Amino acid sequence: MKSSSAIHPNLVTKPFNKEDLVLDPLEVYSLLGYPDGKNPPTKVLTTLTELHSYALELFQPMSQYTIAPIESVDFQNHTVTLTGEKTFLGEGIVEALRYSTQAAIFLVTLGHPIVEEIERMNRVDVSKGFFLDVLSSVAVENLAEQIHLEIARLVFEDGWYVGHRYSPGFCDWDLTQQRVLFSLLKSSLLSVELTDHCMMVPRKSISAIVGLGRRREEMAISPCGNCKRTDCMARREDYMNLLYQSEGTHGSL
Amino acid sequence: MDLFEDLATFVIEGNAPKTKELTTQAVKEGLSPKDILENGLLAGMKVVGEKFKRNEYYVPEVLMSARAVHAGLEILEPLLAAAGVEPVGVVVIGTVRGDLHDIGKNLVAMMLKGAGFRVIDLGVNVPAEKFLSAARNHNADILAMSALLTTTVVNMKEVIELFKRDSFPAKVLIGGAPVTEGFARQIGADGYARNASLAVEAAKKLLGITA
Repeated sequence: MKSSSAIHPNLVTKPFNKEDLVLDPLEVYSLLGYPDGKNPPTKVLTTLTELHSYALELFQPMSQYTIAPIESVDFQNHTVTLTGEKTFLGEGIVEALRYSTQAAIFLVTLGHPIVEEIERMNRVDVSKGFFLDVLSSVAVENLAEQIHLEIARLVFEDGWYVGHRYSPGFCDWDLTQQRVLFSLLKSSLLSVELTDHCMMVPRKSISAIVGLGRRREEMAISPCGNCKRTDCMARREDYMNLLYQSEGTHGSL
Repeated sequence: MDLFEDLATFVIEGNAPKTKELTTQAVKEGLSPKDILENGLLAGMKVVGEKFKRNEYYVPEVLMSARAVHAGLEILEPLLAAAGVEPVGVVVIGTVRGDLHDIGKNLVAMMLKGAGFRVIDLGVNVPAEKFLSAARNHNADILAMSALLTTTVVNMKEVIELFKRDSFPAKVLIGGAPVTEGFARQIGADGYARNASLAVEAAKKLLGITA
């Protein structure tokens, strides 16, 4: 049994300033299908620039997170139980939270209007629908990164470090675990719902759990290092080092 | 003929407004819709496919070209139907039950349309019965299914089994991030495509089309 005190037990829900979303062009090009070092031709760049401004008008970024103590980690039965008897199941998540005594659970979304517009655009001009979809994917990933970082800053003040983020559907973590994750949040405040098959609506949303621990070196361990899927798009390199070492970006971290 | 070459060039450039304009002009000049399609729009798209294979074009450029073909087809389709010109093939396409991802499916649908197929897009989260009913109603040659999640890709097998039980003769083409050639074989699909451009080749191969 692990013991620890809750540090920020309350649910935080707030809008995110869309002007602060960073859409890295290289990530956009990569998702569009261009190999490293290859930039799109002018006709594609022109359309992307137009759609970027349009997408910004439609984004309604919101975030929500909570932090809860981890009551127990059962390596035999592959379960992690948080306060309130919320139990996650999965071999990977047990490994991911091996050194954590708290967990942050968060949900971010770009809102409904952008997704509705992507769907409309797909009926009219699928190439523009594709570009808008890619821009939104990069935007929502950046939103998740920034909320992850916000949580890292918050808990750092109390001497905690954050680990990598995990989302149901990735790293072989069963998508049905989304229901446990959502039970710890109030997703209705963000107008995000789960379908019967545990997909999020609107789809440009990301939910995740992040372990918190006292020892930075333990939290810095990347589970991707042991993963056999070397071509995985979600593979994370020395993320933790970036998080805690780039002082220019992250202040006192 | 210059007009056909110009039309093919607009398709290669991905210029939808110009493609539509020139297609309209070609029709007004009394050229056969079938010739406009084959020697203009599809000829341009063939070059686009070759450029894609040589890594001169990537998915966005190919999509813009497919969009241009689509713009020309808006003019030609009623005329082709009236003249009794058959499409290259009929494809019923959708993302399988439980999965809401549509981007890959949309790309494949657009590429197939650009290659002269008639495409019936059933959208996302499509149950097996809906695939079969649409295939029957449209006399489909190909059933194309997409899935992005490891948890939903297994639902493809359920659709294939339903088609087999019904003895519906459509060829089955599948794709999506978790799909591999081995998986396609394992569930009894006839073909697998790694990306949208290759899906056109695979669809043609399944129907024995060599051009």
